[in-house]
Amino acid sequence: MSAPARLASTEAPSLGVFGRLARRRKRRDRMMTAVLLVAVILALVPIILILIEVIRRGIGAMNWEFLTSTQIFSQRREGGGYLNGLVGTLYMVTIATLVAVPLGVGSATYVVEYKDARLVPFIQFFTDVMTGVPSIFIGLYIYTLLVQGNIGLSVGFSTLAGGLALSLLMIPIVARSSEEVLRLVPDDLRNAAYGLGARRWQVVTQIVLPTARSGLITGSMLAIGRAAGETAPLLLTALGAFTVVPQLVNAPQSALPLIIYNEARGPFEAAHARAWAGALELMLLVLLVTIVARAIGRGTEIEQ
Amino acid sequence: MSDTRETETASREIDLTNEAQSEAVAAGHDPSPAPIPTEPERPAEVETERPVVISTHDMEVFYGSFRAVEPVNMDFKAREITALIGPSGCGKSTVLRCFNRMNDLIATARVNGEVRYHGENIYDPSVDPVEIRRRVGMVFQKPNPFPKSIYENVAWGAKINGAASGKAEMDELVQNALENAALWDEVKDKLGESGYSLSGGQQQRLCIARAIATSPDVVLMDEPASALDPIATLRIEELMLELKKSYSIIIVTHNMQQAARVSDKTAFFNVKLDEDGMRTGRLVEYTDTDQLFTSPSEEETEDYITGRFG
Amino acid sequence: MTRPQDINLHFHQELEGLEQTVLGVVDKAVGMVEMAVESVVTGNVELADEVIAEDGEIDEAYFSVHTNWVHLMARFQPLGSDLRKMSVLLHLNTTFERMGDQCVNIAKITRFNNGLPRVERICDQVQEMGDLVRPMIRTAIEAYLRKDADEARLLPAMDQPVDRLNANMYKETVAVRDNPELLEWATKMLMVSRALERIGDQAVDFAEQTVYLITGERAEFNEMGLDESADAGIG
Repeated sequence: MSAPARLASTEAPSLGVFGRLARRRKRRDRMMTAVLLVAVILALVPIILILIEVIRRGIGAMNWEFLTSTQIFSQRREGGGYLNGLVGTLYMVTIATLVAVPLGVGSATYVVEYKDARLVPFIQFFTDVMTGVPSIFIGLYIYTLLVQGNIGLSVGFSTLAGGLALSLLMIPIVARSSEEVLRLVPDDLRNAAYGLGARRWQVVTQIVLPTARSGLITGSMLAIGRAAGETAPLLLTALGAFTVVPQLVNAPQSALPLIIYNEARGPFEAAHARAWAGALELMLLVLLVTIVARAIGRGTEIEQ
Repeated sequence: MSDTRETETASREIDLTNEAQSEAVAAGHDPSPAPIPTEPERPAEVETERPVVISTHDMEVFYGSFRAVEPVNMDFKAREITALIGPSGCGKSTVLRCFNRMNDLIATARVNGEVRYHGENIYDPSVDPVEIRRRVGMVFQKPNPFPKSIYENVAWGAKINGAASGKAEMDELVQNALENAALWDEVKDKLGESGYSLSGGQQQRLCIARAIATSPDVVLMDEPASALDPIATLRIEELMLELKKSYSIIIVTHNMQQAARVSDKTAFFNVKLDEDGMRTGRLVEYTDTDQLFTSPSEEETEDYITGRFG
Repeated sequence: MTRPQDINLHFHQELEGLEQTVLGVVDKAVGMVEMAVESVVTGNVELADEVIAEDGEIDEAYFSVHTNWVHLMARFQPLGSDLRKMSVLLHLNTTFERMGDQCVNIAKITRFNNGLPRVERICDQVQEMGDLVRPMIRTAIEAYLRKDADEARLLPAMDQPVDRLNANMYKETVAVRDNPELLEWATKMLMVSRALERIGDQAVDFAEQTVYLITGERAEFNEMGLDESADAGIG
């Protein structure tokens, strides 16, 4: 057996050769780092500028009155607040969550745990399609179906219609992220559970889902944050209102994005100021949801 | 033969007349007239006492239409350790998974022939695989405790099988399982802590405790020590020798010396490559461990264990 | 089909080296037997001294083989026929070191008997025993090298005449009891005879080890009845 060639040199290579090579590589390395840094800055700058702008312009009109009172009828006048929008958003997002999370997690569970079932490729395909549907189409669909009542049931412009529209938006997001998280649960754990004589439903509900819990919650909350900021699906379903609306059906509902859209469109200074404050309020709401999601996610990580 | 001795000078050799005593000197024993200690005999009555727990009858495994394992005929007795050895791809893990129908979880896998557990064919359509898995436990290569507390890990299997009726009974069951897995002393004060807070070797013993908590009579182990350091490995091996008193154990291992250390019987599987590069496994030899590792009957076995292997 | 390769090559090479050393000892032992017998039969004290010197080399080889053997075991944990070969080599190492010691015993008797009168009959018988024993060792070597178990099973039959000659030696010794000097000489020759008988047994032992190596069976040739029926033992 011949000894390995070339590598086993008994003399230390002269520093000259090493030096040149090493210096060139170091330079290239530093250049790459600089390029990447520039990319990061370019990506972050617009986001940071937006944040700064929203805060700067919104903080002025943001006051206790703004947060706790409803809209004044006239946009031209100062005063009033977006309480109706805040309540509406919270109301509809809650409904959307109650529909979208069970359906999305359930669908993802089916896709992952019954991965050999023939339905699975179809489900995955249609979930992908749904992710790409323009949000206005979702609004139009619900409008046709439930607001106008073409299937015999009509709820009119309402909280329910808006909530359902948002849920259609959320389902594919929840389903996709849940699927990723469930796939991350090691097969090892499933094998161990089956090996102990557990039935499939026991393995899923007592082992897989609890293990994936934090990831599922995180995914759902990100979908919630997304839904809270959507405007287009609500245009034809919730429509908008000036007061706090407690009814579920047959009464148009308000939402923060809707109000912001309306007030910002008009020519009035006072309205614009309120719109900025509304934007800030919405941003803070989404930020809160994201922080909570991350906190939960960090709390129960699977150690490997 | 005359026994006269003369006082010889200096020669290291002690003049002996008894052939057996001379062999004793060769073996390093004291050449006194005392009887030579031979290897401790396994009591003969134990052999006839131990019933067959699992037996296979022309068991084959197919993935789709491809035969992965040629017909296997083996008997596994109670309170005995059997090792399955062989090169990679020889099907030993596949064969192991047949004994608790874990191959059912693979969509394309199909088992022909019979596997009898206490005389009943476990592949009979009327048999519920869940029942088998409760009675034939499994420990895997990489320790895989559930993300639950140590107590919950051990209790879960028993709970879903309805083993214990109250907390006191469950506490006792958990303690017994942990004691039998040689882990109780190390965890008794921290049963509520996560299973992941234990070291690798401890986690594997936790998995063993979890498996025996459902009161199986057979425990299958798929390379249980290959992810562990040497000390943890030896502890698992010692544990197996203890567990042998109550359970029949079938272990897959790629470590021949480990198979030699722990098992009573060893089965050697070999792999065949066909033109398409597909591997088929075949049982070559199945006999007492001592016999297989000192004087195997098959040339393939001899080639494998001495490393004269292609 | 791929040709088998040796993935345990280093161990097998070292095992072979160990085997060569042990066979070297065996070879040397055969030579020593010849010299020892000649020395005691002819009263050649220089030859006796040579035998004793040779044994020193055998003793050194014994220690080095034993040390290497232990190291190989620790490092490689061999199995199957490798394990049996290790077992056999260790056994042979001891057996032939002792054979060397037997030759030394004979050589010492040469010196002890120096100056004493000899009985020709006894010298002839001792010479005959020596001439019987050396081919036994060589047959055992052949059987080992050729892995021929049948040839190995010839050894017990070859040992019978040696045993008979040894048994007869007592009578020869008693026959000269009236002459004190001759008696002293003859008594010592009785011990030579016994040493040669032991050497014969050691050759049979070598053959037993060979059969174990080849077949994995252990057998006391005596118990197998091979030494009773010389014809039935073959095949």
